[in-house]
Amino acid sequence: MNSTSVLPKEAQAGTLQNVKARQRHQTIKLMKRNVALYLFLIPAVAYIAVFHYAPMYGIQLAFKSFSPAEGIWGSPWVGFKWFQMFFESPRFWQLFGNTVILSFYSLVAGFPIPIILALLLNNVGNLKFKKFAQTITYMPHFISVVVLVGMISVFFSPRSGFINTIIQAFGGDPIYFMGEAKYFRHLYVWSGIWQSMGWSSIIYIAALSGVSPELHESAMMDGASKLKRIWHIDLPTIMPTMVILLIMSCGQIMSVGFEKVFLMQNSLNNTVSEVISTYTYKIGLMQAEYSYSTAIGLFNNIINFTILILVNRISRKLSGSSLW
Amino acid sequence: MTSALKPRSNVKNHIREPLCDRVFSAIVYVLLAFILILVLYPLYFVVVASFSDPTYVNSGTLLLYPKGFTMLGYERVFSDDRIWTGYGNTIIYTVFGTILGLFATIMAGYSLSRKDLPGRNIVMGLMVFTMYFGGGLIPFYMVVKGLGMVNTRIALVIMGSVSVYNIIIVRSFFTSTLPQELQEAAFIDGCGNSRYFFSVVVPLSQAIIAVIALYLAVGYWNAYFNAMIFITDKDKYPLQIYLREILLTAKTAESTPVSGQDAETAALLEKMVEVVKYGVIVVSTLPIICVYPFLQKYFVKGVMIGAIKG
Amino acid sequence: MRKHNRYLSMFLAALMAAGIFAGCGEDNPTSSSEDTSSGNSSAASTGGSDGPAMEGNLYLEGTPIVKEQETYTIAVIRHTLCKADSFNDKIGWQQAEEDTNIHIEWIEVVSGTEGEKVPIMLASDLPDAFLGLLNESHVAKNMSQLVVLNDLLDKYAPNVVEQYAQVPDMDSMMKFPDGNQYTLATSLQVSHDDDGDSMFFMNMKWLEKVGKEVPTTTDELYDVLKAFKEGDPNGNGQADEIPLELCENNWAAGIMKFAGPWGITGNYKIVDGKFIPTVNTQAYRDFIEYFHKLASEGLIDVEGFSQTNQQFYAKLKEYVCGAYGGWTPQSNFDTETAKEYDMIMPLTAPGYEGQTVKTGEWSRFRGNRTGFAITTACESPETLLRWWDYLSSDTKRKWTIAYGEEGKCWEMDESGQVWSLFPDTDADYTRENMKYTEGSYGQQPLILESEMERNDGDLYPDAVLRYNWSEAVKDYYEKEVLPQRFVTPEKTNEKAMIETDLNDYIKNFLATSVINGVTDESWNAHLQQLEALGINEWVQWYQDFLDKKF
Repeated sequence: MNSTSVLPKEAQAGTLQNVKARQRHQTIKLMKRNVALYLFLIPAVAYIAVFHYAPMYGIQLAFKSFSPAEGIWGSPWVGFKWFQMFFESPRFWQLFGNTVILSFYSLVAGFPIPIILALLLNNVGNLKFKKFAQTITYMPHFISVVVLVGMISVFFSPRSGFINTIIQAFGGDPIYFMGEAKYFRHLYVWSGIWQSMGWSSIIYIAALSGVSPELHESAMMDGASKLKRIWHIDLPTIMPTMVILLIMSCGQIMSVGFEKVFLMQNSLNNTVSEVISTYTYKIGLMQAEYSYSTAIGLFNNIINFTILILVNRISRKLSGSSLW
Repeated sequence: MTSALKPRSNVKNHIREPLCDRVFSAIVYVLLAFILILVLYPLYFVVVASFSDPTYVNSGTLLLYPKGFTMLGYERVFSDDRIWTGYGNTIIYTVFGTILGLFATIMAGYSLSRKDLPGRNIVMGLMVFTMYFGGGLIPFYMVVKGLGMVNTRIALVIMGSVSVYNIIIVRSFFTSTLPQELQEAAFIDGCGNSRYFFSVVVPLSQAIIAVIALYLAVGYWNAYFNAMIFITDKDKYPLQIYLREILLTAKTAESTPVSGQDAETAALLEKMVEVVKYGVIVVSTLPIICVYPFLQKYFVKGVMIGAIKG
Repeated sequence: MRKHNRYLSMFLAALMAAGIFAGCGEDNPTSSSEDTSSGNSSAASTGGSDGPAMEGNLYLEGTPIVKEQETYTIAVIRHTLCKADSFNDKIGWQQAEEDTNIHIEWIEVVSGTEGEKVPIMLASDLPDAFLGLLNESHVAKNMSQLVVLNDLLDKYAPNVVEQYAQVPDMDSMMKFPDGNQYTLATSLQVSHDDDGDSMFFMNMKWLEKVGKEVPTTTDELYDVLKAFKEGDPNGNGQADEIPLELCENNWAAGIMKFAGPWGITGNYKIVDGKFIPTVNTQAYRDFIEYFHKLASEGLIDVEGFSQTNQQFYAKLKEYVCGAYGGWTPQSNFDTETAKEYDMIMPLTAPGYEGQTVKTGEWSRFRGNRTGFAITTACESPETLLRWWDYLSSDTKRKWTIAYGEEGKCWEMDESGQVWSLFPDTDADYTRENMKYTEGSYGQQPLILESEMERNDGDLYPDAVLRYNWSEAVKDYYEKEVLPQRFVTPEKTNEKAMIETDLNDYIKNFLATSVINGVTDESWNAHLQQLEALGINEWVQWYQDFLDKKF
């Protein structure tokens, strides 16, 4: 792959076989030189082979009706029965839409904020304050979802929540945030951002530490403002990290975490808050029908994976960074 | 070293900082202050709530200081022996798991970042594939059982050590920060792959190592699923199993229509949970939160790369 | 394959820092088969002419049950309130081991993890039996993993057979559609405390303050709630009263608990064996419109549709709620405040006189029908069945398993009547803790109605109150209810597919309509939506169920 790009001129000169043979020769030479690197890969590869690939045969259950007595291999095939059951549900499109909208909103709103936070922190001169701010913003990551949702419900209560007290102090009417479907997505996404922005910014902060101070100094000599330097020095430095994380987030579009949605759901907002994971949970088949949950998981991940491949390809063309 | 570098440049900045930069700095501080208030208040609330009577917490009357002050939550938490066993186990799993994972991840990430490694894209592709497709829980359990690792501590240390996500991050970090010239120069000097990795790459990559260590440590600290599935001995349970039990039982007890004297039990559970809910968060997360400030100093050392490059 | 895995395991282990984990990963799974095989190797043979009748190692009568000690593994749910180190520390199980010579190795499944653990156990790690862990769908999907008890019961569990004969309809409740019985029942046959479901409580002191009588109709209720709202009955000078408090997340305080005056207890009712939906009736609409009127005048708490249980309880404690639905006021307030609240009898709605109903069912069967199940992994199901029969054979034994040692949480008088006791306990170790620590409450073999405990009202007023209330509203319970019967997994799936959508929609319609009101237009749209979501199929499903078509 890489060797081809190194040898375009020879490729034109020689015959096809010649080129291939030379490439092979080159590859073997590289492999020999980099034996140590292959050894480096062994722990991770072994882990993935054992814990990910060895159980992979379970995928067939999506097309079978699992019967524990007969085991995974022996269970009878049912074709696309589970998929059909799912697609034919009268609410399939509503669920699909809710899921995609919720995660797309999370992605669009949630992706830039950690980057902005990292850039802000990077421009703080006072090291103590910087450390303090970094640690504080990272802490919400550890609050469990049950407690988070409980706090949202208390803070946003139309009767006693302090958010509504503030709204009323400014002359507004109390808003029933948890009870109106239109607020569900905002509450979900922004509480998520609140919880994860500090955690997600860590990787950018680390990447920004790789920027050479000399670059900034020489840019300053040229009279570049801070904003300009962020744009021309800092952003390009973290660009590869940003792109990779963006690609991976795009590949998560069908995966909306179950627990938080489920806890935030109520009878007033369930038209927008019902997503694929909560629906399948409620239908009770997750527990009873192992094959059904495998099928739904497979469906979600085929979409995720397809999106990932597409985005990865686009990114390789546009930015040169890609997963593979 | 770095701390010597930074202030110097700051002094320079100060002398001839143009107006727009000073405005910019002001904006930065204002924005950060705003963000900090948004983040701090709910955190503060958690702490205050942990010292308060749950009734005030849930009625919304608790705002700035503890109401109905009580230490009962903490007393309950600390009087539970299982919390201490759980702590011990969690620390064991976290420390050893992080060390193991760090080695596997950094080495794999580095290898895959090397453009001159034939087959790296195939390996990468196969790894990414597993982020999306898996056999599910039952075959996974059977594999672990086949390895004889059910109900062992070693299972909890190994599982979770390698994550494709982390490998990708490491790889991309190496790709973008390690200059090609550095490697070429080292190789011309007769330095082999292993020596180059251990004596040049690792010291230069403390920032990413710190990040991955943090990711792994937090991951192990918060992990409960594997313990729930694979561990049956109570003395091997990590802390999170208990926390989950505490936080979730009341939830399930209340949503299923209770019958019998279970209504009474549910009410008691509810009270019990409410008292310890916030305290448990404080107790269980404090140690891992404290890890972060220590790792932060490594974030700055990455600066070295630029220095060598220049 | 196995060898291959072993190799990988060793390989992975080698990657770890050597020696550090020595001793951590010790091998300890002791398989029960090793322990039990010795006795069963010889085929069923009657014991020597002088000894009692035997089959292999198993005595056919009396105790001990086995000659040489045998070990069985039983997976059991471990309650959150349990503080015991092991189930074998509980006196009930200790006595059983002494008497029967059968040792039980308990696999304790921590409550909250059973959802993941049970399917794995069923698929790849069968214990000899499950206690308190299986539900209907587990059994239905895993019949091949469980022992069919039909032919074994008469011979090995005569006491169980005899007791089940005393329970009405027990046979049809316990058998699966294939005609087989896979499980044995645990817990209680009846619990009259529960029969009354949620009760409607009102603050009588407030009622006096605002000068109103106890309401008997919905119109009077409206007047009372209005007076609560405006009369500052809690006397703090603020209009912070919530006349009627609701909480959809609470089992007892949802809005549907208040639909009784319109003849509604749920989304359906059964009249003369016909399954009739309520959600498309005029009565349902009138019920919604009444509550919309309350909501628009601020007489009910609309936050009830979203708030958490904790918020609900906190509001009650704030002393701002005039009326609510619950278990007992004693469980929601301190002793003094609780006295201010009393149950009010079911109300009538204008135009629906004589149609009032109340949620609840007198003498409902409360047993856990899938409580105990023996799996195919068990070497000798006969032995375990005899063990269960032994546990079932004595009232005292059942209560010892449920509550622990006699004299602490319970005692039996000379007539054989069991009385609840209330030992002095501290806040860290309450009677509830005792039930699950010294006993295994709910996991005991089915306690029959005749064996039920009774409460002395002085010691435990709640239970007596509950009993009296449940009995007081007895005449209002629905005359016909759905029978308890197992159905096939296919049929369960079919129902789940329709019902999940329908229920979600109905809840949403109810909540939004209570807040925004119903118009003819929205009502017609509602009727159409019900059709679209398959209400007819839903009705048909239940009608077939009632007609025993599956």
